[in-house]
This record gives sequence, structure tokens and C-alpha cells, in this order.
Amino acid sequence: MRQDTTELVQAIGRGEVVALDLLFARVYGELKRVARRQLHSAHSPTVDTTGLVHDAYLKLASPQGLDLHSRKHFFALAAKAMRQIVVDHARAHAAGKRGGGVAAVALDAAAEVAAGDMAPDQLLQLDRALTELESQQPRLVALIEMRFFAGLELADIAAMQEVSERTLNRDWRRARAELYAALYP
Amino acid sequence: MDHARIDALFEQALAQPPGQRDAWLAAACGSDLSLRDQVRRLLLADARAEGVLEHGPDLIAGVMAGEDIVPERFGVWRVLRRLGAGGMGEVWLAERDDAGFVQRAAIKQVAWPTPGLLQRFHRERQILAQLEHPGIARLIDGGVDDAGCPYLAMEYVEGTPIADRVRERALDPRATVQLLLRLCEAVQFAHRHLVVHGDIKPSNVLVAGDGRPRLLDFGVATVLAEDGQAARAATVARLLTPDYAAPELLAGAPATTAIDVYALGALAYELLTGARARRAGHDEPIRPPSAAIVRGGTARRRLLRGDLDRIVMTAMASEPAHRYASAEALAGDLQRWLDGRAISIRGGNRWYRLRRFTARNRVAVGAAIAIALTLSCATAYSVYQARAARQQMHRAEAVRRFLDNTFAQIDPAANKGEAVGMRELLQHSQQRLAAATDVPVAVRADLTTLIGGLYWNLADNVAAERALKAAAAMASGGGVPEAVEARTLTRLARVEQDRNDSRNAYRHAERAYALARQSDGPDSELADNARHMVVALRIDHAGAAHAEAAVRKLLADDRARRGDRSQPVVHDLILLGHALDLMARYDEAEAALDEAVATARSLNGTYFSYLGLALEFQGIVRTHRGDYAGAQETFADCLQVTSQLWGPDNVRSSIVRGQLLDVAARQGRLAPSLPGALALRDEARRMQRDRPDHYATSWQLLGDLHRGLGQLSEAEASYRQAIEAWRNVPEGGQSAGMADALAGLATVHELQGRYAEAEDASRRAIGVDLASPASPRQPMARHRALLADILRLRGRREDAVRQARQAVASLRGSPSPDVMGVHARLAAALLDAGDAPRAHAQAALALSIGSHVLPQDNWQIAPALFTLGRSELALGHGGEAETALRRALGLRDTRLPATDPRMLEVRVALVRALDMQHRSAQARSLRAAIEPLLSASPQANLLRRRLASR
Repeated sequence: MRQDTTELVQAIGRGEVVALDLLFARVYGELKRVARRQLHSAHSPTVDTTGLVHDAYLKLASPQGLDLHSRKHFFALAAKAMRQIVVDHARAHAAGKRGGGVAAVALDAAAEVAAGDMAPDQLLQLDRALTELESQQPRLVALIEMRFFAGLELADIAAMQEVSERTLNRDWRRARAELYAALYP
Repeated sequence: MDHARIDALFEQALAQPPGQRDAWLAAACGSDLSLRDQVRRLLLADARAEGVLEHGPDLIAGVMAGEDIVPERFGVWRVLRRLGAGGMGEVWLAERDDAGFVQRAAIKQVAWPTPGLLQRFHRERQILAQLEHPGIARLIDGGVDDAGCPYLAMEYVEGTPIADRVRERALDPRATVQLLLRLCEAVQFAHRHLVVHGDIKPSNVLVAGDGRPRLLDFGVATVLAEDGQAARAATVARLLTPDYAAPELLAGAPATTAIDVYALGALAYELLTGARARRAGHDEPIRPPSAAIVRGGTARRRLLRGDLDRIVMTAMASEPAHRYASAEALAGDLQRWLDGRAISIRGGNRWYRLRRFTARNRVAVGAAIAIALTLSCATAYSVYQARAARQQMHRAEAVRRFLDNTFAQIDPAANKGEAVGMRELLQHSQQRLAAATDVPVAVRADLTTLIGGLYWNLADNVAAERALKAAAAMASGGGVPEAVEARTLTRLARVEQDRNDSRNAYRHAERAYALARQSDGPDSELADNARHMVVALRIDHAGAAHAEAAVRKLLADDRARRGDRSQPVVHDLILLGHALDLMARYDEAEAALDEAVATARSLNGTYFSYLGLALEFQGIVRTHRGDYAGAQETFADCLQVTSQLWGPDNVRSSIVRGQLLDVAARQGRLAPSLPGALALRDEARRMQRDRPDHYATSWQLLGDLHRGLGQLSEAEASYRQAIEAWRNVPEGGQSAGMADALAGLATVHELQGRYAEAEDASRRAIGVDLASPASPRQPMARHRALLADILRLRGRREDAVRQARQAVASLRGSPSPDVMGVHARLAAALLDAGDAPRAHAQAALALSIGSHVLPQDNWQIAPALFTLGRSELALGHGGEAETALRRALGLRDTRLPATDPRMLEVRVALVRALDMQHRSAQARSLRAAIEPLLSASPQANLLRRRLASR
């Protein structure tokens, strides 16, 4: 399985779209599996997202790990998968609770977002805003996925993408501002 | 929209003081109002978004909820039901059929496999399987499930978690301490087997129906831990429950026995108080148990206050050096508390001092315990020996004072805070002893002997010999009890034996035996030890044939007195195996060593060093008889044991590594073994002082590899180095190793065509063999057959046949690669002397021995095949000749260059075989291919003649 993963990641690096789908499915599944184990073992109602992504990496990458280039792809993908997991859940939750309708979100919900526990509706809004932004600025969306959904540190992302932390910090503020402006016009 | 431009403006605007941003932006954008609005909108959002999206959404349990999938099986284990989830993943109850019995196990899925986990598991399994103790649930199996996820199978224990048990039954402190005592015993048992638990915590201790606590997951932490230091720290932080992990473990230190002692303390704390001593993330100092008590009130508090507080706090000291030195020491104080006696840590920090010098490695710890034990024995012994009461007091007092002062010097405060290693401690003690004229000479001699023995334990043979010689000099000076001298000389003999000085060793052992019989009687332990040394040395000194009876008598006596499953019996079986090996009676040798290995394994860890020794000899026997795969396995086991016992860098481990390389080479893995052999030589050079024979043998290995690869000048140089190195070994000039080095040099000269030098070297090898009664049988025959071969090539055909026949006649014992070689050389001698039919018979015999003792494709069979092919030629059987020669060629051409004489001789013979079958076209092309190469061979003329003749 690890061998496959390495090959898939390399194929993605070469731009093979099928590989991307395959790997995405695998990472998505693995993240859920690992999280379930984490929840069982820690007897805690929440999951340590950063640990989750790193563990999925350990589980799926080859024993030697991936080279820098492939690692970058892997974590970007894992972050995307995390976003998907969260959004899927939020969607299921929202549908269950409100019979499919989406209530308007209060404008001062910023505080809640900052605290980290967003309501399902807000998460869905965020997802839509991200999808919007993705068509114009995919780089910024990837950054938000890695930082917000996968819980990676800016310093780690900077090292992986081989850009300075300063640059990344600027991108982060830029991305955050774009998103905020989209969510709360 | 121009993103790059927006990016740049956004960043620059942020660099302006907030109040001036608008103005700055307006100036920067000029007339492009849309751009200005874009950036302004972002700036506004940025100001309000401070802190937003910093933390990811919490994934609540529901996110990941999904049906629980129950796996059907793990390898041979059928899953019955889910038991729960542990720190490392889910746990399942499963069963398997094991020889008709249904065995149950708790299967643990490893959710976080660390690199190399399975390899570590296999490495540890052997050791973990030995942990048979009623207080320990063993690791029994492990593997990989269908999804590639590793799992471990643990002995399944039905019971209550210890904390629940204590709470539910409202156990009082006495009953709790009794449970803890049992637990300490189990931990101590594992420590004696050199296994550290590494993750002792309440959930890992179950109390079974019989009321006994059982410790789960032994060795799991070791198996899960990664090898690298940083990686280990990361794993440990993730896997361990930090509340029970010693501070140094969380800082990334390797798991040691001190860590288990800490965890036992933390467990005791929790069970006694109902409160956890330390909560993860809280760094405040731990309150004594009596102050932390949750239930039980004042009566319980009073019971804990004082000694029990001190015991628990000592076990949990944050500095490992301040803790109890072992689980046993902790148990000792718990027992004393139960008995109402004074505990060891009352009013002093003796454990602290003891801990200080028990450095980090295991030998040192073992040795330190040994020193403490033997010193108390020395006191008792002196008391027993002395005649007058005054004198008794004087001696005991002298030992006590000496010890006290020595330990005081080890106190870091008195030693400028530097940690003192075992070696320094010994050195220091020895110097102090030499100067301590107030200590009676008998005590000084005894303690110096002890120090010598500890040096030997550390494999520092030079220092050991020096100390023991000094002790022997003191002991022989008069006024010293015979028993002291006997003990000193027995130890000295052991060290001398290790240094190959068997003559002095034998002399000292005999004297020790005589003294011991006089002083303590013939059946005493002292006499017994000396007798074992005498018999062991008789093999080297008088030869295996003469020693066999004595060894068997010793074995029979020990079986009768100590029982079959005893350490002396293991020792005697090793001796017997060694003697039988020298006589080439390999079947009997293997049987004796099999029993030695099995018995050593079944005995406790105390005899672990004998297990290593038994395995080493077993490996040697298997090498001699050509069972290289078996030998490799045995040496690998042996290396594991020696590394466990003395560490991988110890000379004893290095020797076994050399044997593994040798076996690899004999299996044909010559080129791949070369880098390892070069590294081994460098390593052996550093260890030369302690084991000069190891250094010499490492050159021999290099010589063999180079020779096998056709690198003749390198081989020559290596063998010369080996010969030189053997000269530096006491009695090395007469050793079997020297004979082999000379024979190696002779073989190289033979291949180089330097026949006079070859003959000289081979005769010297035989001379060395003949000088020692202990020379192994078959190598001696091999050396004579080599001489015969050299004489054959020098054209002295009759001498050659005579020597070869003598070699065959001197063969004894079981078939082996050596026996094959000797017959093959007789065949060659007969062939060149013109007796083709007899030559053919001998060659066929050699080959049948070869295919009996060696795998079919072993390269050592090539000479027999070549000679068989040549004798077929001489008999006019071209087809048979071709078959044999092609096989010989196949075994040689994978490792030898085309110009090697051993390649050329086969191909020349092959040309003749083709000619004989009238396949002239093939013959012609082969002839054309090899003719230009012939000049490289020392036998060029001979080969040209053979090539020309039809």
C-alpha cells in the first residue's frame, strides 16, 4: 500500500488526474480510519487534526517517507481531504437538523469562527467561498486548507513549499482577508 | 484582475502605519480606482479577520462515526470479539489452534506503525518469549493483517484493572503494598532478562481471579519505539501515558530499568492515594502520598506518612540517580515496611550514591550489583574466616571503611559533579586498595580479585589480568587464607584462557584446584569452580582426545549433584561439544551443544552468558560440518544474545559478527562480505589489546575473501598480517589460527606459481599443527593435502601421492568440507602420477562427500568437480568430462576474473573435452578466447601444452 502511495503521489506530480482521484479516495478513507482509532483510544470527543494528518502520512507514505516535492503534494491533498470530511459532515448535520434548509448566518459570527468551533452552516458557507476563490486563486485556497483544515503550522508549510515564512505569512493574511470579505461583504 | 499587483500593494500597505494606509494606497494606485477599492476592501477585511481561521474546526466524534468493522482474522488468529481500545489501537479477543489446543490471545492492532516495527518485533520476540513468569502476560505472536497493518498477539488475561480492584474492594495500604510487591517481582524478573517494560500504568496491570496482578504489554514499548533518538522521542510522546512516564523518557532518553522503577512508584502513588501523582502538562512538584490522599481519612494518612511516603517519593524521584537502583530494591523497602523494619533510605542517600556509579549500560548495572553483593559476601567471608573475634571486627570494619570512602569519592558533590563510569570506579578502587595499608592483605587480595573479575565482565582483559596478577602476588605472600588464593587463581586462569595463554592458565587452575580442595574440601563450590577450569584447559593443553574422559566425568558428576537442568551442566556440555568438535565428531558435538542451548534457554537469565557461549560453539560446529545455513542462524541468535548482554560494541559481539561474515563467505557471498570484513578488521584492531586473537582472525577472514575473489596480492598481504598478528598473541605461534594463516599464504603462493614459498609455508603450517596436542583433526589433514598439491605442481609426483595418502589416512570423524577437499587432492595427485582409474574413484568420492555436506551450488565443490572432469578426460570420457567441467566453471566464474588460474585451468580442460567429442568449431572458438589470457597464469606453459595436445 505504501509503495502504491508513493507511485500515486509521483504520478500526480506528473499531472495524472486519475492518480489524484485514487489517492484522494485513499487519503480520505485513511483519515477517517485513523480518526476513529484516535477517538476510541483517547476517550476524548475531539480529534487532534494535525496529528491525524501526520499519522495518515506515516501510514500511507513509504517507510523512507516521500521526497520534498511529493510530500508537498501529499499534504496539500490530505488537507483537501480533511476539508472534504468536515464539509461532508457539516452537510449531513445540517440536512438532518434543518430538513435541508440553510439558515442565514449572523454577521457577528466571526467570534465563533475564531474560536474554532464553527456551526455546520458556517462551514458550508466557508466551503462555498473557498470554491469560489479556488477558480481565481487556487494557491490561497490550498494554504487555507493546509492551515485551517489540516492544522499545519505556517513554518512547516513554508519549509515544504520552499518559500520564506514571511511570504507565506503575507499569503495567509491575503487569503484570510479574501475569505472574510467574501463571507461578510 | 491582476493578482500579483494586488498582492504587492496589499503587502506594502500593511507595512505602513494603519493611519496612513489609505493615503498611501490612494497615491500608489493613482487613477486606478477599481484597484484601490480592491486593496482597500482586503485591508478592511484583514483588520477585522485578526485571529479568524487560526484554529481548525474540531472534528467531533460524530464526524468519524461509522459502523465498527470487526475484522475476521489476523493471520492464524480468529477474532471472537472486540475487547476495547488501547493506547496503540483497537484490541480484539481471538483464538487459534495450537497443536490441538485452542489458544486465546488479545490481538492489538498497531494504529501507528513505526518504521522497522516488524524487524524490531522479530528481534525482540525471542527474548520476550522467555519471559515466563506468573506475573507477566507474554507477547506471543505478531504479524501483518490483510490491510498491511501490523498487529501483536498478547497472552489474554481475564481480570480487573488494578485500580478498579483496589477501589472496589477498598483495599487497605497493606493489601495494596502486597499487590505492588508481586508486581515488583514480575518487573524484576523481566529486568533480569534484560527486558524493560517502558510503559507500566494502571491499565496495564490486571488482577486475575487468583488475586495476583499480571503485567500486560511487556516489551511492547520496545517493539514500538523507533531506533533513532529523535524519532523515539516523538513516538514515546505519542504512545505513552505521560502521567506515568519518567521525566527523562519524555525528554527522549532510551527506556531503562530506572523508567520502570519510576512508573512503579507512580502506580503505587495512585493506588495508595486514589489520586494521580502527576497530571500531564502540570509541572508542580509532587505532593507526598499522605498529603494527596483522596479517601480513607486520617488513619490512612497516618499509615502512609513517613516511610511509605519516602519509598514512593524515592521511586518517583525525577533524577534517575535519586531513585531506587532496581525494582528489587523498591520491593525490598516495601517488604521492610510490611514487616515493620527500618527501610533502606531512612536518613541517608546510599541508593543515590550507588546509582551514581551504575552508569548507563547494563553490564555496569549488573557489575555494580555484583560489586555490592560480593562486597557484602567478602565481609561475611572475612568474618567467617578470621579466628579471633577482634580480628573479625577489624576486617569487617576495614571493608566497610574502604567501601564507604570509595563510594564517597563517587558522590558527584565530592567529584566536582562529574559522573563516574564503571571503569573509572574500578581503576580508582584498585589504586585506593594498593595504597590502603590499613586494610589487611587478605581483604586487599580478595577485593583486588573482585575488581579483576569485574574488569573481565567489561571485557577489559588487559586490566583484568593486571589486577588478578597483583591479587595473586598479594595472596601468595603468606598470611592469606588458601581460599582467597584459590579464588584469585581460578579467575586469573579464566582471563589467561581468554588471552590464549593456556599454559599459564592450566598451571594456575591446577594450583587453584589443589588449594581449594585443601581449604574448603573437594566438594566445595570453590573446588568445583577450579575443577571446571582445569578440565576446560585440559582440552587446550592435552588435546581433546585426552580430555574427553575428564569432561564426561565432570558432566556425569554435575548431572548427579546439580541435576540435568543446571548451569554447571550447561558449562560441561559446552566443553564436551568443543572437545568433540576438535575431534571432528560433529554429530555428537551438535547433540551435546543442542542440549546445552536448550538447557541454557530454559534456565533463567542468570545463565544467559552461557546461552551465548553454547550458541557460538554450536555455530562453529555447524560451520565445520558445512551446514552454513544452520550456522548462520545460530550465529545470528548468538549475536543477539551477546549484544543484549554486553552491547553490540563489545569484543564478544564483534567476534560473532566475524563468524557471521565467515559463514557468508563460505556460502559464496564473497564480494558482499568484503566491506563488512574490512570494517571488522578496523574494529578488531581497536580491540586488539583485549583480544589479539580476534584481530588476527579478522585478517584471516580478509585473506580468505580476497583469495576467493582472485585478488591474490591482497590475499597475500592479509595472510602475512594474520601471521604477524598471531605472533602477538600469547602462544599464538602454536595456535590453530597460525596454522590456518600459514596454509592460506601457501595456497596463495600456489596460485601465484611461487611453489618454493608455497611449500615452505605449508610445511610450517604442518609444523605448527604437530607442535600442539590440541590441534583440530581435520584442518591438520587439510594442511597436509595442501602440501601434497604443491608437491604435485612442482613435479614431485610420488611425494605428492605419499603426502596425500597420509592426509587421507589421518582423517577422523564425520564427513565435512575438509574431508571432501583432502580426497579431491589425493585424486589430483593420483591423476598426475598416471593412475587415472584410482584418481577417478577418489574424485567421485570427494564429490559425493561434497554433495552430502554442502548445498549443490557451493563454490567449494569446484576443485572436486574439476579433478573429476580431468580424470574423465584421462579415461577418454569426453561427454562426462564436459558435464563436470561446465559445472565447475559455473561455480567459479561468478566470482573469479577470467584470468584467474582456477578459471583458465577449467577452460583449458573444457577445450580438450570438446575436442574429444569432435566439436571442433566450439573448441576452436573457446581456444581462441583463452589463449591470449594464458600468459597471466603461473602455469602458462603447462596449460599451453595441454591446450595444444589433442
